[in-house]
Amino acid sequence: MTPDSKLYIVVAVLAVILIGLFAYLFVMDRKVSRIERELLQEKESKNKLKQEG
Amino acid sequence: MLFREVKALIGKDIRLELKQKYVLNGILLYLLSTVFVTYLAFEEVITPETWNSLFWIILLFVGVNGISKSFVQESPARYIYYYTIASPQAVVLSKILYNLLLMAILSLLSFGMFLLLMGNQVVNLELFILALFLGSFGLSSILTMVAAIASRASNNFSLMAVLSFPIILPLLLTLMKISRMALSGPEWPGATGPLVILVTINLAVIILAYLLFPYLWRD
Amino acid sequence: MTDSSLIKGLWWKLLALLLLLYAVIYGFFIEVPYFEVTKESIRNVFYHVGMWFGMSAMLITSFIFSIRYLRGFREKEDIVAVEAANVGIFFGILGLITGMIWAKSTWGAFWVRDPKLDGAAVGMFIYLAYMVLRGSINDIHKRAKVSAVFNIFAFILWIVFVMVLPRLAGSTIHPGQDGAPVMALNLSGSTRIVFYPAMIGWILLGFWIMNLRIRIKRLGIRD
Repeated sequence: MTPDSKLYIVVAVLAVILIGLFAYLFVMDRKVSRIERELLQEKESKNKLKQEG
Repeated sequence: MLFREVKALIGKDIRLELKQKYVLNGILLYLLSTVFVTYLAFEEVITPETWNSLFWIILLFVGVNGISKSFVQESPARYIYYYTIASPQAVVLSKILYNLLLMAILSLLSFGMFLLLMGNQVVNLELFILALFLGSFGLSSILTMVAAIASRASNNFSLMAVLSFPIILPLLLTLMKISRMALSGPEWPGATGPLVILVTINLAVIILAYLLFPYLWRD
Repeated sequence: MTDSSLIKGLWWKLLALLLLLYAVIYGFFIEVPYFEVTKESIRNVFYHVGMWFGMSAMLITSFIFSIRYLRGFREKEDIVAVEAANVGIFFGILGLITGMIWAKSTWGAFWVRDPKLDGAAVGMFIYLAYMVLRGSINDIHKRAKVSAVFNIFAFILWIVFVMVLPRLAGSTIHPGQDGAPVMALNLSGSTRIVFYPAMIGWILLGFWIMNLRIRIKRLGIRD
């Protein structure tokens, strides 16, 4: 591949798209993790209330 | 023990079929009219290739139609009764054997109709009959399993077609390959490979049916 | 909360990103074997074939979890089976579309009679039917059980189909087989160092999406 074929532009575009997609997945994963944690805490505090009550 | 149960259940199915003749008549009429419609639609342009494809496709549709009722024909209460007296393996084996009988009759009849209306294209008759028998066996075992699955869902009939067409393809294509050989020449050697495949598929399906059917039978 | 990291299994998710980045960047610059029909488009093996690897990994996972479901009837495993099948369908459809684009330029038609194409299409039909089957049963335990049975039954017949098809094809089906080095690709050593990492990357990506789908579904089930 010759350096002046400008193929590296395409590679750069693809790399950006890929990084973007993965960033999206990361954000989604974090959100899901947070909700999971919140639900868990909610459940724990409910159990505590039950035991005390 | 299993053998005796299977025998009794097949006898029950045959008696039931003879009692409700309209179901059987319906299937027979379906077969005859489908063959006749294709005969009219295709006029005289029947090459061995189209003869072969039409034959197996019609048989597939007839099979789906005939077997789809296997597990919804009788009242639910009756199935609960069978559940208490017979093992699930006996139930599925008896249904497969009974449907084999049905498919064998239907395929021979279909072959006869083809001979009558579209002329004889078969060169190697023994090979073709063997393909018919193994095909009936494969169709009956796969379609019996799919009928059992579809009977547990609503929307039974269209589900039966959707579920069975893709999974029946390995069987159907192998059958078409063998019967294409029976149509093109009298030689046998080329057919051993596909025949081995066919027997293997049949064995695999029987084993799967034996192992998996109990999960469908009990709720 | 002892677990301080924000994301569970961060390392393999990052690994998927790195492998795919490597495949996308290096896959364009590496020397590839030259074929008249494919020319540079041979590089598609790093991306298009990855869809099939991803799909296969997902469908095998779905199959395994269907068997596990029938052994213990745990709802957890049914969820894995269905979400793996969902992601498998997703990869499969992407594979079909990318394959059609590539086939148009290589063989001159969007769809040709080729065992691999037919196998993939039939696989899609089976799993779409699996979804229809699930949709038509209301009771969740019954749905899980019946669809697990169908999954096991259909998967094995699909494997048979994929194995049997090339043998049946012989001379009758695909005339262009000799002009298609892509399918019988003899990967040279230099190509392999991109191909295998790329495939692992795609499979890991599939598992990540599946993992997210499963967790989201579990959040919906409050007990």
